[in-house]
Amino acid sequence: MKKLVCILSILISFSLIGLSGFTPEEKIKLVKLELVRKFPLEEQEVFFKTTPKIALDSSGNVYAMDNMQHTFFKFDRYGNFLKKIGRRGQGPGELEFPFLISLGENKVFISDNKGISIFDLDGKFINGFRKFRFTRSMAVFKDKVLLSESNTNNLIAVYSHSGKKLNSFGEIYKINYSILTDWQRYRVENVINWGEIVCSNNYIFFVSALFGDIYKYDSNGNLIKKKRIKNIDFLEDNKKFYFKTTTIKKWRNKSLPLRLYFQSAVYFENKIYLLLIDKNIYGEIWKLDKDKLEVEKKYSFFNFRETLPTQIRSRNIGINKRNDDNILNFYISFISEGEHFINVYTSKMK
Amino acid sequence: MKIKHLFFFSLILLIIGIFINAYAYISKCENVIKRNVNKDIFMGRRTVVYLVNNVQTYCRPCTDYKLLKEKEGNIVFYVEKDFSDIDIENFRDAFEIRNKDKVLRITDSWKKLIDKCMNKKNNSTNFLIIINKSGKVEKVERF
Repeated sequence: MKKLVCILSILISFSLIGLSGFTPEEKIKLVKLELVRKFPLEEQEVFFKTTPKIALDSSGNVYAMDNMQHTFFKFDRYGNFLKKIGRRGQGPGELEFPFLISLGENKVFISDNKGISIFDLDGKFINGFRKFRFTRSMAVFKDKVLLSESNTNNLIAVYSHSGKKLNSFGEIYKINYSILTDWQRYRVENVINWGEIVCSNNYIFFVSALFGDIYKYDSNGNLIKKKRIKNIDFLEDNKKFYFKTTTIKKWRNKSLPLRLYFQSAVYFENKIYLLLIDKNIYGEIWKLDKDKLEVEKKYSFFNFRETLPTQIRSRNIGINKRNDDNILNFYISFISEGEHFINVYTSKMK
Repeated sequence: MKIKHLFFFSLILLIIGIFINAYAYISKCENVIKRNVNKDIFMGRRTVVYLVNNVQTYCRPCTDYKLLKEKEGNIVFYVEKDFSDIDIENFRDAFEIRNKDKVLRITDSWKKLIDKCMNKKNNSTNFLIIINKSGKVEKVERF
């Protein structure tokens, strides 16, 4: 009898261990993507000095922005070079260390050190306006430009295309700044509020890079839903550090724990795609449903575990679909051994 | 003959020295600022002038503004010439500038001063000038 009880209890404890380890996201199948193209090619006589940030238009053309060349390049969907747009300067149509690119309303929006410059899809300068806050993220929502800026009380500021500030919404993360001595407040604020804005036709999403929270707003800025990405330990650690720091007396002369979990986010056909950067899940793209805000599919595009992580870094993602079928094209910008390029991967949609 | 030559030579050197000193005095940044202050119609006693040539989004050029607006009279911001009205509006919003304080596009004389006096080495192209009660320049700070 005693033996039976022992065996049963062992069996029960094993099953409990198994259950506790079970999470719905572990069931999600990892789809391996296939590399089909890489550009720019040597014969194109175009090169990037920095890993470009990329954006795609509805025709599938790729706009790749190079911070160090103060310019952006236009390629067609096959990676053929079409045009180089902008040059260094502070005049109209000129750029200085551009760092964000976004497309909308058949226009290209570039955020640089000075402000926002707006071009048409052929690269003709339309207009621009200055900005006086550091911009963490930018997206175009209909006839508005959405910026996530420093030194504000709201997460997202809404500007017209002419630069007039219309309103702002969303609650920023706030912490007890006094624990982080020797750290300037704006730096802490920028770290904890780092994230990306992505837009569908009717909704605005903000994905927090440090905490994994996803906020969904309607077009008026009303919060509809909030969800958190699960099963990434360090996101919880981030939260604990920044919000439950009662045990830490002072955080002196140390770097801030800064483990962002994704590098870039993009919205495409009712889904949000996140390009992951953590060393354990590097080389993956997670697809989230726009309504449930849950991970429903994972794509693997590179096995970083087999490569030294310092050698290769991905930075940005853009997605389009092949005209003839349901195949998705993932455009991912890379740096590898000092060379910057864009890889194109494919996957069947379903 | 030789003494005469020596005398003329010394005289020429002396005149050159006087000119160099005079030029150095005239072109000294603080003195250029003083002349600009006297010429500018907005400058009165107890005035603070911000010459904002380069707005760094990280650096807050108007950090002292919060302190100064509590105790100083007029505060004038000179911004770049090509600022649009919307830019000025956004500038006011970003730095929480009171309605009573002026935000103006920079005049040629102030622009010249920036070009002359800015510290290119450490990228200090903005100026904070405080004029005291008696109308004298009390403080000039590059940032």
